[in-house]
Amino acid sequence: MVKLLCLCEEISLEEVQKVIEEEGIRDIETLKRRLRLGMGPCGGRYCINMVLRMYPQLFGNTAKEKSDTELRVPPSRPPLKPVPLYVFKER
Amino acid sequence: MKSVNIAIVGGGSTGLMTAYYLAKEGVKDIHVFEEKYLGFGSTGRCAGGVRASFASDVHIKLMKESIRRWLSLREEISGLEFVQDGYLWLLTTEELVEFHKKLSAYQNSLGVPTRMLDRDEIRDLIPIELNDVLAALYDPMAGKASPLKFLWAVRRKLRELGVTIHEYTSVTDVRVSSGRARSIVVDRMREIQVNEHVVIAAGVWSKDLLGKLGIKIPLKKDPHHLLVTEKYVQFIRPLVIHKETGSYIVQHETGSLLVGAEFPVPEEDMSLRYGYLKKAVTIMSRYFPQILGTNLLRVWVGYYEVTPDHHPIVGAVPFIENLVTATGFSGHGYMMAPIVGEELKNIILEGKPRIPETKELRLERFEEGKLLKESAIFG
Repeated sequence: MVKLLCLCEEISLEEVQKVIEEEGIRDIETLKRRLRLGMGPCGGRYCINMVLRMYPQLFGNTAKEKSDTELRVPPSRPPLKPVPLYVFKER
Repeated sequence: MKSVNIAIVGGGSTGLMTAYYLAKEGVKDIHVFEEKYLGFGSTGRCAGGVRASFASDVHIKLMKESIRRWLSLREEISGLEFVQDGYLWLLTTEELVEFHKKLSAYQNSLGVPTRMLDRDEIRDLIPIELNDVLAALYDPMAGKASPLKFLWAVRRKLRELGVTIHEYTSVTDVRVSSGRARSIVVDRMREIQVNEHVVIAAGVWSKDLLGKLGIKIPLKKDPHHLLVTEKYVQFIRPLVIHKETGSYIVQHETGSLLVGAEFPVPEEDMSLRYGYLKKAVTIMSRYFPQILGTNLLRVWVGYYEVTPDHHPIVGAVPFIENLVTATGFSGHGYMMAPIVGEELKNIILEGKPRIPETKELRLERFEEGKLLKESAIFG
């Protein structure tokens, strides 16, 4: 059974583990841009939280973040939810 | 790690390409230092357009060479994508049409095969509501390369080649004595000796680091907005520019549309402006009403690092023999990265660049008042 971490971009837990392992990715910002995890319509609302929850399991002690007091969580960029472009069109 | 052979400051396209061409020549012990994650600066925020159709011979000649590198890089580095889908400038006034006819002839004389398209030819190329478009300039040699795919493909390749990439590691100082960069200071406390060269390719932040060495570079941070939509069916291959307003639209392989617009804000102001969204959508939907149904996914701001003549600074700096820099690309750093990376490699290994035009990008031109000319800036 495939476990999907990111439903918008269809990224499986396996793929996440694979790039962490093979490419030595040690932070969520890079993980996000490497796999497009959190770059779909949900804006990371679900998948980034899932990664945070699984953080020790995914990154273990090799995490780049471990020396910091807080995790580097990607910024939420507006809009909160996707908005059709016609909203912005001047009449 | 007490010492390194080559220290590259900046994990953007310029720094990574420099590391790549050096590593390809067999140079060992290359270290790239990035303050945040790779591409945090301008590379990860740019639209990914690549063109040689400029209005200055320096830009044209270097970009012709850069496009040749883009074509070979996509064979050399797996996962790196570059597609030659062209650029299209929509021209809406008689003056613009006349200017671009001349521009095209000039570009042709330098080997860039741009040509004017009439309304029917434009319609054959893309699905467009022509409205007030009188004609267009088309550059079939130009293209696009997804910046994120570039970053990860190059990151993988560099790791294979043995280059060390230090993410979240800030170079806060360069120590110079007797005209030579001796060491770098990392995260304000750790000193690392540099045996060969220091490369400063830190985009807008190069100014701060060089400033500490007493080297003044005329660089302005110019924030530009960009928006991305949800995936949409592939409908527009070339990057299309509305010349009169400097707005542009490009669709990447993922299907996402990026729409940019000129929306001047004060230097260093990274806040998002609603006015930009209105302008970008209003102008581009006039020609591509299809986009009105797509959803806005994200909007962000990235910097152009702009010099007084809109040309970059590439090469050695005065009075420090083993320090080279490449910055001030004025919105063109990503597209120029392959040739600039290779030229920095040449400067480091052979003492000088191989392309005569690179020499014109030296820092001293600003003090000497010998500015270069360019008039085809947009977005």
